[in-house]
Amino acid sequence: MDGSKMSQDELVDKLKQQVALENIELLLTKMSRLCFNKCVIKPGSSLDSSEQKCVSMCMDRYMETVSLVSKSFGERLLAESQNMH
Amino acid sequence: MADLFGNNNDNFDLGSSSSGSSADKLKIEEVQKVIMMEQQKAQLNAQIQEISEICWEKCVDKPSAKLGGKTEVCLTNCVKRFFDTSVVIAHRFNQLLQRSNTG
Repeated sequence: MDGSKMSQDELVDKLKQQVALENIELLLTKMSRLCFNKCVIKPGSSLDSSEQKCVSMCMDRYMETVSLVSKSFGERLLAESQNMH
Repeated sequence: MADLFGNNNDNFDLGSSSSGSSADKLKIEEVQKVIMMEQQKAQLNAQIQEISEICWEKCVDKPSAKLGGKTEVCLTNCVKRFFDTSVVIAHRFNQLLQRSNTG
């Protein structure tokens, strides 16, 4: 009985971990695509230092963007749900 | 592929293979609740990621050391207007649907 409870908690943990991992993977892929588009206009023989700098800044700004968007999104959802009731 | 599905079934079929007591059922319900909540969270996250990309393309020109006030205002407005747009689209779609149903 105790063993089955353990495996159930483990299953839930594993599920959450997998979801989190997938989210990170999606975010990384998306940031690579978006920042490549913004920073590497004409791919050269190497990623030069200005491109690398741009990519780093791009990633920081994108993460800020996501947090800003998720804040406005949350506020809007909350307002909407309060309107319904 | 078939093996993968078999594995999934093993994971989510907890309890039904054992006695199936009410305590087991309760636990399965708990796990199902967690899965449903995770699905909702994932859906919400996907929406946020989608809008983030849309508004990033609209508002951010060249990445710099800071987003800047102007860009931040653009981003918040972008989210709100995107929301409004979806509402208008849904309304319009409903209208068209009703028209095609009555006409």
